[in-house]
Amino acid sequence: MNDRAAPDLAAHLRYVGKPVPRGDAIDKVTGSWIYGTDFVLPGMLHAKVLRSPYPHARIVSVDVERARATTGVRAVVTGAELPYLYGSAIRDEPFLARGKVRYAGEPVAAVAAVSEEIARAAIDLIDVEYEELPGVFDPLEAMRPGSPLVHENLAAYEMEGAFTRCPGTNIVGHTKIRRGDVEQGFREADFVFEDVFTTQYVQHCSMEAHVSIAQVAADGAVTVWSSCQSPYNFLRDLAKALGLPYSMVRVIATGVGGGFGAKMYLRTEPLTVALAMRTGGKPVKYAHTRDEEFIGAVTKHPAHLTFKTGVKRDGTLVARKITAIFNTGGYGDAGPQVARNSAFSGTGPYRIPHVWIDSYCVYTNNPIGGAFRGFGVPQATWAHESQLDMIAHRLGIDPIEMRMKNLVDLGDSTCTGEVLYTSVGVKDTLRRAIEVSGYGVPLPAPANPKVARGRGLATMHKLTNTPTNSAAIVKMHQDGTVNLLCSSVELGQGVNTVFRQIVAERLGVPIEHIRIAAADTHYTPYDQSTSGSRSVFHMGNAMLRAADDLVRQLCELAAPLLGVPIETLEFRDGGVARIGSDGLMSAREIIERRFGARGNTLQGAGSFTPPGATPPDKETGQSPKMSAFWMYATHVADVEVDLETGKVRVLKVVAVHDAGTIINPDGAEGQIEGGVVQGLGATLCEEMLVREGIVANPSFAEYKIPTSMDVPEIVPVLVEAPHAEGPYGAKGLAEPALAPTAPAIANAIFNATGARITSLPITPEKVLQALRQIGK
Amino acid sequence: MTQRLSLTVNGVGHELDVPANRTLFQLLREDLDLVGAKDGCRQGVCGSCTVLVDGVPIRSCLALAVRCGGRQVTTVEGLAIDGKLDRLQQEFVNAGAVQCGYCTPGMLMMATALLAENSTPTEEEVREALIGNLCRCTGYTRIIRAVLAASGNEDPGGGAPRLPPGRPKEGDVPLGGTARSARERP
Repeated sequence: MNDRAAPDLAAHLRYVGKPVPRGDAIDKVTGSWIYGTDFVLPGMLHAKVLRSPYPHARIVSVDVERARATTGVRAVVTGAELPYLYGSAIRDEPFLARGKVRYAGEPVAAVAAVSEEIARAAIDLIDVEYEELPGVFDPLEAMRPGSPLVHENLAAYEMEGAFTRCPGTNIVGHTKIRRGDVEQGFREADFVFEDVFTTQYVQHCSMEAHVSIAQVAADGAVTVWSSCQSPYNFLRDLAKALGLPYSMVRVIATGVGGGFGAKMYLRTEPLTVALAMRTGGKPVKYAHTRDEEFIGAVTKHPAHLTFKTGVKRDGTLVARKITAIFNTGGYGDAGPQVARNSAFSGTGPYRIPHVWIDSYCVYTNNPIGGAFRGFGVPQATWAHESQLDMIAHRLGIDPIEMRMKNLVDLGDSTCTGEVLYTSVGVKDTLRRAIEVSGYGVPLPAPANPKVARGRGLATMHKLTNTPTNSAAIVKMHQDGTVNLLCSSVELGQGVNTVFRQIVAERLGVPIEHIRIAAADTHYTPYDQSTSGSRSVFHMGNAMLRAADDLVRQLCELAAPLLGVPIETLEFRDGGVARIGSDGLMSAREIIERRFGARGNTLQGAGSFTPPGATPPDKETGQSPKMSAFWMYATHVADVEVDLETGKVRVLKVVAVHDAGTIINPDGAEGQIEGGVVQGLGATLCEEMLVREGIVANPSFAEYKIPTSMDVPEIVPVLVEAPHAEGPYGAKGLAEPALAPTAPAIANAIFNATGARITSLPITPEKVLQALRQIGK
Repeated sequence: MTQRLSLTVNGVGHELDVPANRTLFQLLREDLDLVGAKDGCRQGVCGSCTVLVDGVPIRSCLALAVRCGGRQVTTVEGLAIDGKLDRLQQEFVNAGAVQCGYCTPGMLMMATALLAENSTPTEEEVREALIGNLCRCTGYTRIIRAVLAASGNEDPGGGAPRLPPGRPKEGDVPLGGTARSARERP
């Protein structure tokens, strides 16, 4: 059976490619969708956490007696009682601080009580004596010999084999790309340019904070309900930390009010589990307050990127050397993966024969850097797209021409040595962006001479973490209706509806007869994670395989009922028929006739791992198949700059994306629109101000995310380059929209004023300073 | 110390004994099991907790329950009548204005108040009305579109239109493509 929707089949698709309304929309508009923060259980206790006020300090003593004695308190726990470490790439993080604290906000003690008020009062009764230690806050300083060490025991931690750490230093991850001969490349180049780009601390600001409820049974079995993106990540990381068999850990996803990567790894769960182990089976709930989201969750890694690029005078890129430094704060969390992922996309979607990249993930005594939509690619894109325009300007070449000259095509290699053999729509995104934005037609001049208008563009690419696995079950009831079981999590991105569309299309079962429920690791099979824009591709393929398995079973059951060999049968329109004949035996009839009044369910199971994936060589970062797919986009931004105040107003963003075949165009456009606005925030108005490890603005009042008044006209455009291995040719879309808007705006500001800003966010002060530097 | 409080929520009268420091947010969610109003910041900034008190949108996380005595409170659970979505809710569904959905109840309540006061708002007026409701998923575009559609005012004028024309409804569209977003195979 065809796994790909050839262009001529598109017209016959009933569900795939159509703007099917979301299945959860009615629940959400009536207030009946239950999120983690809404979730309650009988006898549930409430937790509060005492956090360190110091960024780096030895814990001298912790006295919890007054808290323990408080009426209504059911459990108190400190790090000394919890000899567990957790983490994903590296297991370096204790459940509660042990021995010392490594960032201001690190949990030191936790209380479970019959009400939040009592828990909060009890926290105030805990006395901790700290001995402050010298802290290190700048990652460049943290890399120098003689810097205070955040983790003296770095060498002793369990770490996944794919990553390289530097024991005795603060470098928890070092990823290398070595391709060609970069020094030779610089010699061959006509010009070599070196520029530095920086990005800031950004907070995910999901409207729903981190929250979990844990219950521990008398035999030690752990159940966790969590607003989470990755039930199986959580299962594995908890089981490994606690030394439990996987079968004794169960993770259930509640409704999720936004993730963006923040909820990809454990955060509140170690705390609720630790308390629940001490409450005689009573469940314990802990939700971050909003300020805890800023200081005690994870952030987007601030990055310092040095780009040295060699070009020919005609604009051909010859060589690129990158030193990227990611500030991962007190613990690794997703840091090593982020720094590595950024390296893999570091050159941008361009042909560059000689590449040398060192991407470092560095500990400091700051809030933790973790997974954030884009996973290191927004930082790399900020650098490569800004520098490309800078170089184009220095050479006197049009930025579009410079991109067209160097952008990859089918048959080209990435900087990781992968030959691109399918679905490379990047040039089409650029062409379409130019068309839709009316690029050639200048913007109308503003009436006010103190205001300048300009236009800029940026292109990007991103891979997806590979290899990863997804498995699905398509369960058919005896009436022919279907339940889908999978551990992908609906975060708002619309995957639940996409999977129903895919299965409806494949089985010919009406979509209203296909339902999907929450991930629960007791019932739903393995999925690595809802992250990396991977779910439609990987879980969509698993769904197709599970549907095909179901079809095979139905045909096997139908063959003796119809008295014909199975080879003469086909499945269509929800039933089995002889090939070429009209008579259809419905799935319902097959099951009823085979199993009779007792009834039965049939379960089709499927699992998918991208074929041919090879982990990269640790010394060179090269792999013949690094990524299941590559995603591409081009954004064009129109801006207006007030030359007196430095304030930047974005008038319009045209966002053109190649995500392969689009399963749900409404959902896809919604992802682009939301991603552009989240990117706008990171470009112009969002910054966590972290001074000596302390977050100065941990609230929505002081950390501004875009509001309804801040949003320009956004034109999302979808260019489909079907992927040979994607379900109906689909790839992924969730992350890319976040990356190119920042450099497109910086390039537009340059176009408007000649001023170049190389550090995010682009504040009015920076614009004025840049204008002054060029004498305006 | 508690006070006796009588108030009407979504048309149903309630009498409760509440502590003086209990917020309307806590009362609705914990005492009446109406969890539609959401916990986003508990500082009155994000708007997720917005409900209507005598038709006026307020931050329930900052409102003391005891100050609502004798008042009519409307929450998102009170919008649909006999299970039938109201116009705003239906337009939110149609417009794809819901992603994670956490901001949605607050948006709906604020938009309900807006349309009660101004039944034909311009796009700019809708944006201003929703400025205190934060959303991180949608980028607001489709929410604005949904509110305008619910007002029946899909061509609002009143300033440079910032929204591209809405997607044609299913059935208007030739198979395999849509009129608005350019989906092409290179």
